[in-house]
Amino acid sequence: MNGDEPELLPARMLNEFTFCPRLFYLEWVSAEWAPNDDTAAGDFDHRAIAKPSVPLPDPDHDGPWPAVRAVALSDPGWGLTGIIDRVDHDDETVPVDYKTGSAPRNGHAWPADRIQILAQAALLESAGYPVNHGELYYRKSHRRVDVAWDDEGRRDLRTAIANARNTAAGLRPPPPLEDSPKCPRCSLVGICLPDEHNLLTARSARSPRRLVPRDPDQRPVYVLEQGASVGVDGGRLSITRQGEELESIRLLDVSQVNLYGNVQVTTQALRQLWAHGAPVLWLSRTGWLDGWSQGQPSKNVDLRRAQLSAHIAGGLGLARPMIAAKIRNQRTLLMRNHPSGVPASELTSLRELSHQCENAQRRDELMGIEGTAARIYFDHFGSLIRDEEIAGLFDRHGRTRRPPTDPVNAALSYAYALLTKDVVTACLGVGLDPYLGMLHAARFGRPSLALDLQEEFRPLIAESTVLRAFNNGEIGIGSFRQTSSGTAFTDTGRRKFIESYERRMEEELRHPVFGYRISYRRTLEVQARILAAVLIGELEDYTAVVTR
Amino acid sequence: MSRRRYLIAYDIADPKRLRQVIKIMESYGTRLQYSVFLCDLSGAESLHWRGDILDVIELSKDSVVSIDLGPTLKPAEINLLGLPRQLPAQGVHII
Ligand code: SF4
Repeated sequence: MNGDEPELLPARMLNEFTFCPRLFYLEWVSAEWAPNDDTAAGDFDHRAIAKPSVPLPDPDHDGPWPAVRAVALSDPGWGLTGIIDRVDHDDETVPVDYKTGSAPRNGHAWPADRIQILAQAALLESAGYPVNHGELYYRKSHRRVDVAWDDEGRRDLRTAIANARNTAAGLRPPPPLEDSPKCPRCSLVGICLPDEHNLLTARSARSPRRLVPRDPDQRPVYVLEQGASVGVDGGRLSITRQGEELESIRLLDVSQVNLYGNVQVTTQALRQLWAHGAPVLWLSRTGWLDGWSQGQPSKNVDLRRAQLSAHIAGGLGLARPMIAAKIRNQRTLLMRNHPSGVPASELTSLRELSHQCENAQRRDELMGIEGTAARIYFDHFGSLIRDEEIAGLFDRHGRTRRPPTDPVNAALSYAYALLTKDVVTACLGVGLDPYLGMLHAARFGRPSLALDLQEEFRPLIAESTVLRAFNNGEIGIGSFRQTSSGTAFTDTGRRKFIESYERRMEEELRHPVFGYRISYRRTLEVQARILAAVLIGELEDYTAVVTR
Repeated sequence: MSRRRYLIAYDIADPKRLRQVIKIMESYGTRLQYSVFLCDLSGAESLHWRGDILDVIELSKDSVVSIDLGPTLKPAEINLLGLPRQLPAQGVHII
């Protein structure tokens, strides 16, 4: 923000600022928000308090008045706004704020809570009420702590407001706290990625603590059944066909809903899914992504702006490590899976091509390197498949896109389509526009950013799913049929293949940079966050996932 | 955000409140018996459940019991005799 921040600063944001300036920036400026167990506990405790009661009597009202709840006040002088949990009044007026946690042992208030109650005292005083102190009530320890509204309090409040405004005027968020005990309990930890940032910016040499969950609780829903309809019934997603319920799923368990071909969805279901943060994606029966909806787009406008400039600038610096990583991952996949070994010279070529990416000066140069590597890679890919007939068909055609000429090509295309919709979902979750990419041309209706970010994961997720599905016998020649538009999955084959793909997404890898284990599913999101941090200039380089 | 499994049972004195409670229970869990549900919930989800239930029940007339069966990765063992019952399942849905 550049001097265009709102006039009024919410008192709650001063609390966040004192707790962690980065948290304040992410919440107030970038409008990021995520709940966690602690915020849910706070909401739960505030259920009764937050209900507005009678209005606040005038300051010149005679005699005592009963406590008033959820009092909203603003003051342009202080530049503050806030909602006070409770206002008591006897000889003086007292703002009372409820906190879910415990009071500090030293008998004082937590610094962040102190600033917040000072702000509330300032609001009440400016509205004409006589205030000498505020009270904090800590539920967990049943402790009341008084905070004096005196000269020192006024001074501290003024300093905090000035510092917070100063931070908000910055072009990017302040750096994360270093190895702080605050982070594990911070609700934005998954957005902030504090230890990861500090490692990548070399502020810390320590391995990051794994503060993000290994794997989310929610899972994708795929609706392939033609003629089905997706609706909601209370808090459940209900999938029906001709009035008969095919499946009922808690909304709590849904991360995304994929609708293939002729499948309907009700407006009510859309709204509920959006409210749960689950996007809905429409795909053709063959897996082509036609579109999606996610309710409100991300409010992080600075990120969108940064992405647009990177897109216009060409973003070669971002695309290089992605392609280099893809080639290295291709090489690793060949080395790990090839029965009789790939000629050493080919492996050397791949390694060299991966290095060459770093020096590519133009987009077409980088694409050229990528193409050469792909040729070498797919020349040997067929021999990784144990079934000789299927491998033979692939070797005869090589990698072909449209139409798919044989089972392996059909499975590869389908796997990339699945990966695309997952990377699109990851981009949406982070607030990136999937269409504005760096390397892939952002035209012809292709989600080019999602295609860029997908590169390093193609061998790791898509191609390795294809290999396993064939080699473990989950799919075979009978899982495909010939059509006028090429080789395609049968209905059963497609289901089996999606299952294999999802199993791969569930698997964990040791993150090559951060060292902790997380699922592939989660890794997509972490990488999208890192990309976002590079775009807004918090991190210098994009660090891709390369496995050994 | 690891989830835990809860066995939740209820006695609701009034049919209208009962219907509301059932609706809430269905959005949080899987029905095991007539008025018994199994719910896999994270800390935040279980607080939301509590909030929803407290908004509906009458504390002097109704009763809701919840028993923590441990983390969903390693929940207490459940033995079924007689009619088959569905247990909460996590995972991808392909329909
Ligand atoms: S995770 Fe830590 S550094 Fe990041 S916003 Fe939260 S408290 Fe601040």
